[in-house]
Amino acid sequence: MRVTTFGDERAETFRSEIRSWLNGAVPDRWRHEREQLSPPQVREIQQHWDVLLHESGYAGLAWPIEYGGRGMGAVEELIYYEESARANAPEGFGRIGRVLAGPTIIARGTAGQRAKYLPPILDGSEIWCQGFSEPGAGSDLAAVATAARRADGGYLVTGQKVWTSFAQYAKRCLMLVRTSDGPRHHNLTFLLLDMDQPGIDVRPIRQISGDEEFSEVFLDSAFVADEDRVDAEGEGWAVAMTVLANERGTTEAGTRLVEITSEVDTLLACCARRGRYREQAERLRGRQDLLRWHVLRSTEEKASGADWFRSGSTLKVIWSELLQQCARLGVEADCARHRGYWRYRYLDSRGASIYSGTNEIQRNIIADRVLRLPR
Amino acid sequence: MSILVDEIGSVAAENVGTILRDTGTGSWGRLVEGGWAALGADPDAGMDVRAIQEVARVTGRYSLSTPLIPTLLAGRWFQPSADQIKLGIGIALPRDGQLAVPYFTGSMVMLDASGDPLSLDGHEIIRDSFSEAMPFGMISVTESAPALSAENEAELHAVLAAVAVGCADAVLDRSVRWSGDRTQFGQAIRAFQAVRHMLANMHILREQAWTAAIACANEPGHAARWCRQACALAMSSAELGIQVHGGAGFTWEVGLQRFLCHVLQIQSLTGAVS
Repeated sequence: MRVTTFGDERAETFRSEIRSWLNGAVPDRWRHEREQLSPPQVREIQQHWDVLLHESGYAGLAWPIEYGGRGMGAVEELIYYEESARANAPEGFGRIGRVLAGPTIIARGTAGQRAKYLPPILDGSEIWCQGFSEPGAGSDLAAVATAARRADGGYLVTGQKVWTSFAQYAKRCLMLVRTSDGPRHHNLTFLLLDMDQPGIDVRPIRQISGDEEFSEVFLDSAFVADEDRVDAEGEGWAVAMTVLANERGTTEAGTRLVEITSEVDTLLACCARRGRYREQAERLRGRQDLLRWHVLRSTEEKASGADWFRSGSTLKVIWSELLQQCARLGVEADCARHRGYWRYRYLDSRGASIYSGTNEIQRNIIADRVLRLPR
Repeated sequence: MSILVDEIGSVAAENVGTILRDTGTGSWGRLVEGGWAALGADPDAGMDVRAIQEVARVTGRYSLSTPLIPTLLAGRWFQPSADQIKLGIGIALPRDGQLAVPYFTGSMVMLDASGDPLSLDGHEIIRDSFSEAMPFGMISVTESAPALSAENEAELHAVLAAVAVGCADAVLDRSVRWSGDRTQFGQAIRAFQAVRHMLANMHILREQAWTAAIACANEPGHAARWCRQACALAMSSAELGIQVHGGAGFTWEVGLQRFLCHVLQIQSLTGAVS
């Protein structure tokens, strides 16, 4: 199979198509007043963007055509993100469904799961959350203690998840649970949980930014049918690795490139007449461009079959630290017009090196699996 | 001025720290009763800026909202009355076309930056609570307001730089404790080299921040630069503290934002003042 690469005629035709569409589609409020919008206003625009993407045929670009996608490759998907960055487009609200749940269900789910779950992810009608971390299982994800015990036709799930992004808005949850006392990594099972049922209590957690984007989720005998188990019982760790590969992969990095580009634009506007800060903002523009090339390179490597962890962990460290440096410069430059915006972004950005696997865990992965350093 | 602090600074810092720790948000009355709020105005106490920095650092460590810092500085600069000191003194500083009164309380006496009573002329005071520990009273003004003298501005920078270091102290203390309590992979996270290095780096950054604060007191001509550097180093140290705490550190409940927001507010105020 020939892999599409950047600069191919097909890729460039798509670039021109998406550029033209984005020019007309990005809401003016987002393009010109983003830094003045409150978190609920941002969410409203993001939710509408999900619907618009679907109606215009741009949701699930890299998903196979039989599952409602466009059947394109990772390269076209990244072109979409590049052009989104250029057009200052929003990121959709159903990100966990599109980036994590959908690709995992396509890769490892059953035909029934694909038919049931993929369409509402694409049209933005069902929001997903990711039930992985627990109070005792953060970096040590394999220590999850939330237990699923056998019941008639499925499982009853009891325990507590935490730092669950979008849980208060979610209809569905990707969930890693313990199903046996077997050996570590072989005692876990992967379930698709309906959040709309008794026995689930979602309590939003206030973050240091003051926002409440993630929650604690308490589960008391919540039911999951057998047909909503992904892969075999005891194979949950392998499925979770598929999710993490997507979470740290080029698609996620592409969405972050959009975010960082917009941050650097705002920084340059803040620092236009302030030499020292302007210089630092321009250096960040250079690093944003380097990130873009790094994502392009990783995308082509991934399309030609390279191991995900070779690029995933490196990418995650690069984008998360760059995002934090942008926000840090924003608060240091302290322009009066954007003061509130940058304070929020600065505090919010502190999570970037913690979620999706802390940057210490990413560096361990690079040391262990890429450099193969003996312990 | 000196690098080492004399006894009065150490004693004052220790006592103020004890009061802040023991009485929390209700500490202002105890600080007044003990005579600590009047130290800046007491010529016999002999407190120089370095000594006030020691006290300021302790206030950052507890990050409680009291008017102690502006009251100490006002005592030093403007010779206020005992009654004014008892109420706590706010100093109105020009900032982005408004006046900002740091460590604002509803009952404080407010002076302008030249030490005269502040005339509000019916202007409303809006409370900016971005930092719980260092709320601002924001006042819109139409005519230009007096600014601090260069000498006083340099002292303000030096004292607030020390408060920022105190904030870094607090985050480091909490991070060290957390690293012993939190277990992952079957052991306390402080056993992992990555975490130990982060804590060591926090210490190194905090130490440099304190050096910058001391330099700030000793080089008034470069106070703005030293203060900016102290705040930047304190922020970097606190950022690592959030990382050490992992997902919990990113939540409001653990409370690290209290210290980080305090430093951000100082950084923003001193940037504007300079």
